[in-house]
Amino acid sequence: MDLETDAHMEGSDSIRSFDATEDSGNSDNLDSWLDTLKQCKFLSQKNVEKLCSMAKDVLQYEQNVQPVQAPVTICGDVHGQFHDLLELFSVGGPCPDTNYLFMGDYVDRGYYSVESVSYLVAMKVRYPKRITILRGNHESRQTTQVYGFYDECLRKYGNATVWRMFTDLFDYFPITALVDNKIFCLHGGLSPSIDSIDNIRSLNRFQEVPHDGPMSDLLWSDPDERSNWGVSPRGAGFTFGQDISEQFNHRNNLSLISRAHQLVMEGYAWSHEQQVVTIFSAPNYCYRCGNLAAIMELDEELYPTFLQFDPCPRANEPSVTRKTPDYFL
Amino acid sequence: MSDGDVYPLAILIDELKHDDVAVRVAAMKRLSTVALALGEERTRDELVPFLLDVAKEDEDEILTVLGEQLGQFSDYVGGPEYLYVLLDVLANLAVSEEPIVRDTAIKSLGDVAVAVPPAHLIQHFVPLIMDLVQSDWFSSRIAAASLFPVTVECLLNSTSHDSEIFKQLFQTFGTLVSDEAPMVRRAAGTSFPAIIKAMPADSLSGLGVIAMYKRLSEDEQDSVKLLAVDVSIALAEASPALFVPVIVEPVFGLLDNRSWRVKYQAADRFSSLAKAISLKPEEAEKHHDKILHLFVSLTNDPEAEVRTAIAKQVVDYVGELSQEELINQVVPCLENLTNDVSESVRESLAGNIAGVSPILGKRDTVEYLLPIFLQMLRDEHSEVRLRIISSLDVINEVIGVDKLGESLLPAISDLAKDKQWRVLLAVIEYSPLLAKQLGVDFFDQELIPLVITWLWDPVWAIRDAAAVNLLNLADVFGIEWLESEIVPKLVNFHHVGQGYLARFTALLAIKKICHRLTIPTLVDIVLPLIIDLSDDPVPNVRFNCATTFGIIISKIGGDHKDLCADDLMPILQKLSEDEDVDVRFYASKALKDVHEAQPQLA
Repeated sequence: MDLETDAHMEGSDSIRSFDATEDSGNSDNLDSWLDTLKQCKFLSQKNVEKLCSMAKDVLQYEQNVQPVQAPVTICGDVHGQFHDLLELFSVGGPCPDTNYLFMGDYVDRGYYSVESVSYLVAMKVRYPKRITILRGNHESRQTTQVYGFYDECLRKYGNATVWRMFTDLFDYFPITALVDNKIFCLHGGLSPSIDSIDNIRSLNRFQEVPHDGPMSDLLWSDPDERSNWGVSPRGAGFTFGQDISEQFNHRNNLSLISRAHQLVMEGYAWSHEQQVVTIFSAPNYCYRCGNLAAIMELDEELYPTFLQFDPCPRANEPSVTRKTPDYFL
Repeated sequence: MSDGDVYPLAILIDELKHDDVAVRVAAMKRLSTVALALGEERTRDELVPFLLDVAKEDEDEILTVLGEQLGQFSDYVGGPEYLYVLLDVLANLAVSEEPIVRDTAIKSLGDVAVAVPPAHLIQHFVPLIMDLVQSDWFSSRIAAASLFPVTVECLLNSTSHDSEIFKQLFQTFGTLVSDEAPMVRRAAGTSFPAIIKAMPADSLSGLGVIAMYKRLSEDEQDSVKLLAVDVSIALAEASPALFVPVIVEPVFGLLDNRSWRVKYQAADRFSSLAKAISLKPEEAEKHHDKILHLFVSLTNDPEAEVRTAIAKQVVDYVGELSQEELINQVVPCLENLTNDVSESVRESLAGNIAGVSPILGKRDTVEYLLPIFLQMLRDEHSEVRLRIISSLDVINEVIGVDKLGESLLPAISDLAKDKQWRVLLAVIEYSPLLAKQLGVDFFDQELIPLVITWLWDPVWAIRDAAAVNLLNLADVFGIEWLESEIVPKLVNFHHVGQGYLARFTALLAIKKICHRLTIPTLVDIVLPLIIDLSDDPVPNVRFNCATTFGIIISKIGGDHKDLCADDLMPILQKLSEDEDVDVRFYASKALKDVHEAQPQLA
């Protein structure tokens, strides 16, 4: 008996060595990983290592404000709800036929953070032009140690190496995106240290999410009904009022700020008189919130259509059980 | 002894003392490797005693692995003859307070019991159980109770068993059934049906099982008492003549119990319980009315869980009843359940009720069940609608096409606009069956608009299913129907909208069906559109064009060589040099496919 569990986790043909350097060799390998992941089976540690190094090659050339072309479908928090992520693709269409922009928070809280983030990263490497994945406040070493991704890696791989590889990769994720120069997309919200989009371009994003400062604000802030800047109850980032959103959109010639980061019961919510939209793509968040999820389809004229969806019906996930534990007898 | 010999055990000991639990677990998973290296004799003499120490102290996670490993250890200790050496270690694990450790160890003990020679069974295994029963600690007695079925089975299979040992075993089992700890009684109750099934029926009553059964069915703890449900069924099946009269009263008591948990368990097995009683015809006749009465009152139970359970039993139970009873007593219950306040009750009924219609027959289904179906098709809870829609084919067969068109079609048309995409998907999957039964004229009149709407649904899964559905409908109505009724509407997508999604969706649908279309339609109707879309500003449109070109050229290349060589291949060539990487990828792939299918175009 040995510890090598490759065969257990993946189809045997995916173990073949990764020597091919030409395009087709890579895409074959990636396609088999995507097939494995689609069945909610995680990749072997060795393959995660390869995947992360390939992803770094792609992501390091993306910009802090990554340009994206419409039509594109914009999605919010996923939080390890892998079955619901597959439901999202059923509703929005498979990649590469549909272009996607995910605004962060792939890991923590749900039971399948490893599968969810591996799937999205593999998709990114396979179709770099068709999918954009931004960084959320949960794509960080600190947050994942508290909210589940670290423990899940330990449980699934028996050590923290995979967690380390992914959190190292998170430093490469772009932090914002700009759709056709008009719609500004990011995980959290605005920052008092950032007046123009050009300010973001000059940040050094290749680092752990700092405790404060512009990069932290972009991933942590929330829009608020009160005007001006406010102290965020989250302990990081700020709250910003409609006046701030209007100024920012006007100064940067934007039509909309699209962000995620907050649970909204309908899956999407407008605020600041349609200057800001919040999108949340984890239905029945944490398996208990009872919310709808949503994604926003932008057509080539940037006209938005919202698609809402319920949790995917599932057979074998932990649920509330009727069985009485021994100690109640 | 050289260092080489000591090495495997030493390294295992080292690793099992590591601070990190993960390392200890990994080490324990390699136990068989260590045993193999040590050889059979040293495994028995050194490794097993060491494991006995481990079993007494380490963490549950490691003990679980140990329990698992020992179940497969026969070869490493020297075969069945020596398996008994593992019993001490496994017994230590089997009395753990942690259920996972206990359960894996009990499973492995079962594997050992099956494998050991018969003599060892009596010499080692039975005494082990007796020791466990005597223990003061409840987890030991739970382990003993769980080991009874496998012990009894193995003893019966071995040739030399005398009845004395069974008398002794059952007497002991009796003490577990009336143990002071409810957990132990529960474990005994869980093992009870398996023991009854294993023993020859005629020896059972001599062993005191009736008293034990009565004791169980009157237990003061609900969670113990409800185990009597399965024991009742097992007893009746073992010997209807002997045991059906015994179980009747207790079964009625379980079905009409003060505790909802007991009632739930009994309702959940209602049809099996009714069948158990009917194994003895005179008892069945005597109690027929009482059983029906209990069924009716369970459907009106105050607890939603009980009603959910009984709603699942409807089909299996009502087959026994007369038409009159069905109409006068069961149908009113079904009507009540259809209006139940609890979603899960209605859901449970919706998944089962279709099976009642073959029992009821055509005339009465139309009169009594159809209104229920129609109401459930409009239920506010989408899962109820989905379940009814998915079982419509059963109903169809009974009531036939006229009634279906008349009564159900309006409801189905409503459902075809359902907000829940899975309901819509079920309607789409059902539509070829409808097509077959309604015929082309009726279908064109009533359902074509729906078929077209589905193609442009906001949800991708529906659009995709709608495109696949076109091929299924073509299997019913023929390709000519597809080409005259649908393809023109697909190509002329502008009525849907000017946006990207309208043309992209039309393209994806064409891509899905074009391999089935005839060559004239492809050349005259489809190709102009694809050529038009091949320089679309959106790359996603262009690469799907490339794939579609590949399929079409492979099909028409023989008949329209010039068209392909002069007009189409250059476009595909150009796409393979597109600025977008994915367009290049799919165009090159399409070129490769074309070259394989039509080498002359290369």
